[in-house]
Order: sequence, then C-alpha cells, then structure tokens
Amino acid sequence: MEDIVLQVKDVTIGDKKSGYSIVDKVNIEVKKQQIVGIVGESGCGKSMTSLAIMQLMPVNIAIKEGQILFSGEELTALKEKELRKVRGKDISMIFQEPVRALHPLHKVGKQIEESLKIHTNLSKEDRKKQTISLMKSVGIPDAEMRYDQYPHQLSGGLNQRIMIAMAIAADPSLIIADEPTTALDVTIQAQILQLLRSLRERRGVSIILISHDLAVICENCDYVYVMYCGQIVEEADVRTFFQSPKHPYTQALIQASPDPEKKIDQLMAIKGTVPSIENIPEGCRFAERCPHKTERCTKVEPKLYEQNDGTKVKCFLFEEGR
Amino acid sequence: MRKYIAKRIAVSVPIILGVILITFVLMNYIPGNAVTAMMQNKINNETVARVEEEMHLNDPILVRFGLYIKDLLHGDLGTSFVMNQPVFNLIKNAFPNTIKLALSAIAFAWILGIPIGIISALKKNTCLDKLFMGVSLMGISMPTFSIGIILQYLIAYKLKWLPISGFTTPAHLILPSIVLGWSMAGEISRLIRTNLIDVIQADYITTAKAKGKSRMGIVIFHALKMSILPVITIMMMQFTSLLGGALITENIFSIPGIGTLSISALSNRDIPLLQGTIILSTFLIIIGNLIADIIYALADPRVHYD
Repeated sequence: MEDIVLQVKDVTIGDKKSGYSIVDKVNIEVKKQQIVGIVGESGCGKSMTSLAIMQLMPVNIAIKEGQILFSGEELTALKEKELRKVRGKDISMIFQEPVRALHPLHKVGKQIEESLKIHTNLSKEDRKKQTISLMKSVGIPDAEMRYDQYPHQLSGGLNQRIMIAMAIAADPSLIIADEPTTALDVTIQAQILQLLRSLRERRGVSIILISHDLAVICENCDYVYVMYCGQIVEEADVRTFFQSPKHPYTQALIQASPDPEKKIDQLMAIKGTVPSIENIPEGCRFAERCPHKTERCTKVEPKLYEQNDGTKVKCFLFEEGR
Repeated sequence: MRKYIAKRIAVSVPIILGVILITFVLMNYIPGNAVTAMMQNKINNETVARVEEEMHLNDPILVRFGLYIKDLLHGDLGTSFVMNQPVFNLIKNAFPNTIKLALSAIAFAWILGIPIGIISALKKNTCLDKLFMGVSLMGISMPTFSIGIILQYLIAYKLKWLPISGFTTPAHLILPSIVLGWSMAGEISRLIRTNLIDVIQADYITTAKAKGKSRMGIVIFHALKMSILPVITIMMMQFTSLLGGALITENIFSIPGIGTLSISALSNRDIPLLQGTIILSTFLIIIGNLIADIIYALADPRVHYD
C-alpha cells in the first residue's frame, strides 16, 4: 500500500449552480513510477477529473463528494494556501495546447524559472542555471538561446517540452498530462510521449496520462481507466485491457479505431450520442447505445464488477465474474 | 524598432496631407462669402471684389491649396478673420490651457478607471462590481453638457465647494476634469473588466495556478498586462481627442482652450482659424496613435515591427 502515490476515492464533481454532476463517483489509484491512462471521448469528464486533483477547476465547478489522497494526505481538506505548496511542487500538470498554456508575454525560460522561484530558495543565478539544465534535459537544443524566446517563436513540440521542463522543475512525484500530444504533429507526438516515459525512470515520477486516443494510452500506460459520461466503466492492466476489452463501450471504441493491418472501407462508429449531463438516464449510461442492452440495464445501474484477471467492468454481462 | 518608427512616421505624412486637403476643400464649399463674413457686411461690392482678388479667392482651388501648404510649411496658418491675429498665435495661447485640462482629466480617468476595472473583474457579480459598473455606465451614457451643468449646479452653486467656471486656479480644473474624465474612466474600467474576466479563464492562468502561484501574484504578473494591453490604444485616443480641444466642456466652464477657439471659429465662419484647429487635432490624433502602436509593440513581443 505504501507505494500508492495518489488515490481518488468516490469523487463526484458537479456544477455548483445547477447541481448536475459532471464526474460521478470516480476511483483512481496511481502507484509509484506507474503510468496510468484515462481514456474516453471528449466531454466524458476526464479533464475535469484531472483538474480536480489539484482543485484547478473553473470557479463554478466543485468537488461535491469524495476524497483525494496524495501520499496519504487529504488534498480535498487543504486550504488554498496549503494547496499552493502541493501545486507544482508535489504534483504538476501538462496541458493540451502548449501555445495557449504558456504565457504569451513572458519568456519561456522565465516561465520555467517561475516554478523554481515559487518552490525553492535558489539564488537568481542558480535558478537560471537550473532552468537551462532542465531545458537541456527535456531535449531543447540551444537552451541558452531559447531561454530568452517567447512561446510564439517556438514550435508546438518545443513549447510542449518547455511545459514538461516547467512540470519537472520542482521535482514532483506525480505529473498529470492532459492530452499532452493532441495538438501536436504525429511525429512530434511520439517524441513527446517517449520523453514523458523516460521521466519515469530518470526522475521516478508517476504519470497520469489523459487521452482520447486509445493507441496513445495502450502504448504508454501500465494501467488504464475507461471513462464514459462521467463514470469509470472499465479499469484494467494495459495488457489484459488490450487482449480482452470487456465493456461493450470499450469494445466499440476499439472497433472504432483504425487498424493498419486490416483493410476496411469504413470505420465502425458507435451509434447514438452520449447523454447530456442534464439528462442522465436511469440505469447504465451506455445502455441506449449498447448492442447487449436488456430491460434491466435501463432501470438499474451496474456496479464495477471485479473479474478473475483483475479487470473491473461496469456492466451486467460481467456480474458473475469471468 | 527604429525602422518601424521611421516607417510609421513616413506613412503619417500623406495622411496629414490628405486631411488638410479634405478640410480645405470642405471649407471651400461652406455657403456664404468669406469676405462679407470677415467684414461683417459693412462694405460695398467693390471692396468685396478687391479683397477677394487680394486673398486669391478667385484662383482655382488647387492653386489656393498650394499657397496654403506653402504658408503652412513656414508655420503660417493664416490670419483669423475675426480676431485679426495670426492663427498660429491664437492656437499657441489656447493650447496650454487645453493641455492642462486634458492632463488632469486623463489622470482622473486612468487613476480611477484602471483600478475600478480590475476590482470589478476580481469581484465579478458582487454588489461592489454592480455599483462600479453602474457608475461607469452613467458616465458613458450621460451627455457631457448635462453632467457639466448638474455638477456646476450642485457642487459649485449649491454647495459652493468649487468655482463655477473660469480658469485661474488649480481648483478650476477639478469640475471640468470630472466631467471629461467620468465617461473615459467608465469606458476604460468596463473594457479592462471584460478583458480581465476573459484573461483569468485563459489556459496560461491555469498553468500559473498549477505552478502554485498565489492569486495576487497571478493577477499582478500574469493577468494584468494582458488585460490592459488592448486598452492602450483607446486610452491614447481618449487623450489625443482631449488635446484637440473639449468643445462642450471648455464652453460650459469658460476655459480659453482649443475647444472654445474652435467654437468661436465655427460660429464666426472664421475659416483660417477653424482649419488651424482641425489640422492641430488631426496631427495630435496621428501622433497619439503612433505612440500607442509603439507602446504596444514594446509591450507585446508578438507584435512584429518589420
């Protein structure tokens, strides 16, 4: 148990005004040096979950229930001032669009340095030295020259490397990467993901990797959570997950992904649409789109049933365990 | 940077010339005869014809424009018909008063408008925000003459706190500055409020929060510059339009500035004087815009000046 870095326990996140829940009783566990993937389509609540860990949600969104434990400490109970010591120091984040996530008027070097300024007592010269060595360690060529440049002068890939350098500056034990490669070219994507993976060995960090791209998740993670409409519908070790996807939604997702080995005319699409949060159906949230729907599915909500191979599936098909 | 400034100045020259040409042509089509206006109808037709000839009024318009530009380059804006003094001297005497008024009005507007915009954005949708925005909206929507007269009546006439009009002591500056500055402060604060509310939701602000930066630190170092930057152009334009003379306010408070001069020129058909004041404000607006663009280029690294 002691190697568990982060535990998200039964967390429900909702809109303060309307009371609608965006994320419903989510449980996530991250072990030391583990890369945990969260996959799901846009709007399924994966980004909101990641923002909620350090309580960075927009003002109208709040954690309604549940606990978030980081190395045993309950983050949900911390005051804003104490949370600030965790942010960037123990846990840091990498966002989807580096160009928008970096301040357009500040030099990139200064932006990395800011993390050091907040969390360390280094002198100004040492900070700059440290920043440049961080920039080199994430593979930025001509780091001294880049230090004085602005985000708009750098490519998307380089900007994302700046974000990564910023994220590792204060030596956190957990990095949350929210769609870190979605806005990048495919060739750059692979490099950035490789860099992230290398951080685990070099720095001993755990990573939460959030993506809508199953391939990215499967190639980079140790453990996978599948989210659908604010809930976790399946969780599994990545190998088991890929060999035998269980939840009808997961199966449909995999069928909907292009496979270069097979030549097909048209990709499978999942019929129907995700229910909106104002209009959550009773029972299973995927029922309306599910080929295995029974009457029970539309009335009773299934639990996450644990299987013999360790997988957990939120579907009545797996109620008995297989 | 130097190249950019030189280029901008070079572009400004044809604009100024264009405006001079347009005002010159427009003045030419003002109904009525300049000479009779000048002599106030106390002359016979022969004298009118003679003076018209002397003033080149029968020459083609392009020739007259050429003569005007030639004089202008020598610093000669002509002679006022009514006051019988060189226009250049009239403007030179009135301009310092307008500058004083403009500076104090703009100081009022910026010192109040910027902080009010920031506070309103940070306290969005609270009573304080609504109060500030209401007062701002009042300033924007009330015509200056009504604000001017109301303040004169209440503060100068009833309460006797400040002088009612004139321009002799610094106290005389206060009321007209409020009249002019209120609407400008309102515009500035509303724009800054909207910008800041937008900026605070930007991704790079979330990044700063995720770094562990304090709320005040984020507002001061990350959000403020981004939300004031787009307002710089408007702030400069407000200032230069004030320097061109505040027609109504100067008139209400009897301030002998460019605004009063323009009004008397207009009502007396004093064409050289009117032209002079129009050229002055054009020139100031162009300079003001140039300065705003330079500040913008210096403050925002994304602006290319090549």
